[in-house]
Amino acid sequence: MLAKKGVNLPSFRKTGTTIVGLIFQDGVILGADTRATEGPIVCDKNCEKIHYMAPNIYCCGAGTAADTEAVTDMVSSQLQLHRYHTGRESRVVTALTLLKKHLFNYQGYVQAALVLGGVDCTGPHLHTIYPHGSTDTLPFATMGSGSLAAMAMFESKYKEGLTKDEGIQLVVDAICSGIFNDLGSGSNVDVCVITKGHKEYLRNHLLPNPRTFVNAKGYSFPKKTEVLLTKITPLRERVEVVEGGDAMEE
Amino acid sequence: MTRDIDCAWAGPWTWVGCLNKSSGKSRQAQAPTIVMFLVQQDTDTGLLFLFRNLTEFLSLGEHSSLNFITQLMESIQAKQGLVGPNDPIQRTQLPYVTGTSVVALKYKDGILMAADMGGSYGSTIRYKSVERIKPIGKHSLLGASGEISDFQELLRNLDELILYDNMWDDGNSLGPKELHSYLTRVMYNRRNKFDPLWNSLVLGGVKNGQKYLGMVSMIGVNFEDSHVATGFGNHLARPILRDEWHENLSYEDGVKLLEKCMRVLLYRDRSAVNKLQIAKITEEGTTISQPYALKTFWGFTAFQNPTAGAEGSW
Repeated sequence: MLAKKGVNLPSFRKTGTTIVGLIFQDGVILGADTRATEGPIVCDKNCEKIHYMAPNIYCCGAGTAADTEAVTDMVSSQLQLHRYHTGRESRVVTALTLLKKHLFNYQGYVQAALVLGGVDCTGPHLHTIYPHGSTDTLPFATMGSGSLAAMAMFESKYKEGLTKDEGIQLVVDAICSGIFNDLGSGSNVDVCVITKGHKEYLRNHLLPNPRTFVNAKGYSFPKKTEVLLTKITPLRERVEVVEGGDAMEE
Repeated sequence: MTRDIDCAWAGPWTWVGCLNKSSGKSRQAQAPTIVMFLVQQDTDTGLLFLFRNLTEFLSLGEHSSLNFITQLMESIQAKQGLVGPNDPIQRTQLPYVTGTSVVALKYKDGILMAADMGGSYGSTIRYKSVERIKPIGKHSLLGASGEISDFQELLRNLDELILYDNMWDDGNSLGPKELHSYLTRVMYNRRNKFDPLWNSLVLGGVKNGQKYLGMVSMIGVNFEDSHVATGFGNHLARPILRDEWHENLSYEDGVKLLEKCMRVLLYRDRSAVNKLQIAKITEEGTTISQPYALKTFWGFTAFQNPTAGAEGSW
């Protein structure tokens, strides 16, 4: 009813995004930009899009921010319970199956598009998961609104057997291509490198959009209320607290 | 002096006019002078062209020629079948046979432009030998993506334009800037009549040592830049060009850069075909290469065995 009067529902907070992943010689590198948008407004300049799933598995999320957070959080807890149950390191396919089951169940209404990567006992893995529940296994993948710009970088520069530095450089190139050529992506570059038994979460690995014009003199605000007197009275105990009281009655 | 003007519809966009020049003094005494003339309306710009011996009109004198034009316009409008704002649109608005992206860049000696040779009919690739880059006049190249028939219509218009230009035989010829301006006007006026030419055009050329590369879209948006791309090329080729283009590219580097863009388009655009032409224009002239195919690489180990270590997933 209000819509007729011109009042629109607030649009969902989306991560109009560029997320990428690639497999290099020792493992997996994931990358993401850090801009979260609410329609045309940037609501978070430096959000985290690389979510923790397990010590050896990370997941980048694009789409509705609440959906990506909730779904990765939920599957992360499920993986933790599974680890306790089995006594083994989690496998990437486990995370994959749990995520796709959930997303398919909700028939695409949970709008989370994910790039899942990790290294487990069977080797490095990289998967993309679409909101309706389909998955792909790929050597390099991009998702989000900036995926075409990032994919252009990958398709022209990717080759097998990249070293860690080459891989990080290519991921940074792809995310920067998304940041500068896509309106839905921006701010900084986050990178996560996962290898066998070791992970490096490089938060804000690159800051290509610094605030350029800052007043060198700094800011001084006019004095407001004058302080006449400062007196500090420490709190005094009024009631004695006895340690080891009676146990709560059942 | 009385003036009698009447017009009759003589064909699409054409009227035959009849002017009765009689002085007011003694109508009966003087034999009535009838002047017949042809009026043609330009389909794109809407201008009226009168075809008749000029002296007949010059004798009208200044004041009365304005009167004459007003009466002429009125008589035409009375006869014209004007389309009202609520009438259904009478022209087709959908593209049928379409070409995909065109990518172009400026290099040291001129302009390089690349386009594949595919014409898609919806989701099938129907024609695989469509030349979507054509030389126009001595100084320009025109590449088009979008509806192929509209591109062919444009080529006819431009043919006529170049012909008239040559007929002046004054040593001057239409350069890329002028053609770009002409195309912008045509595209913009067509869209204002809700009858667009469904194309994104890339116009590049060199005249008197000046390189020029510009683009016009189907709604009339036009601009000039050092590298342009249409269609999917906007999303896939522009990031690569923005990153790797620089002034004074050599011919080989320019071709390599264009091929890089076309290869990514081939991988990721469903309507691309692996048969492309690269066109070059310099001060000396135009060369459009023979069609050739790009090499593609599909040998990633992950493609050979995607579910290694994860049997059952896909």
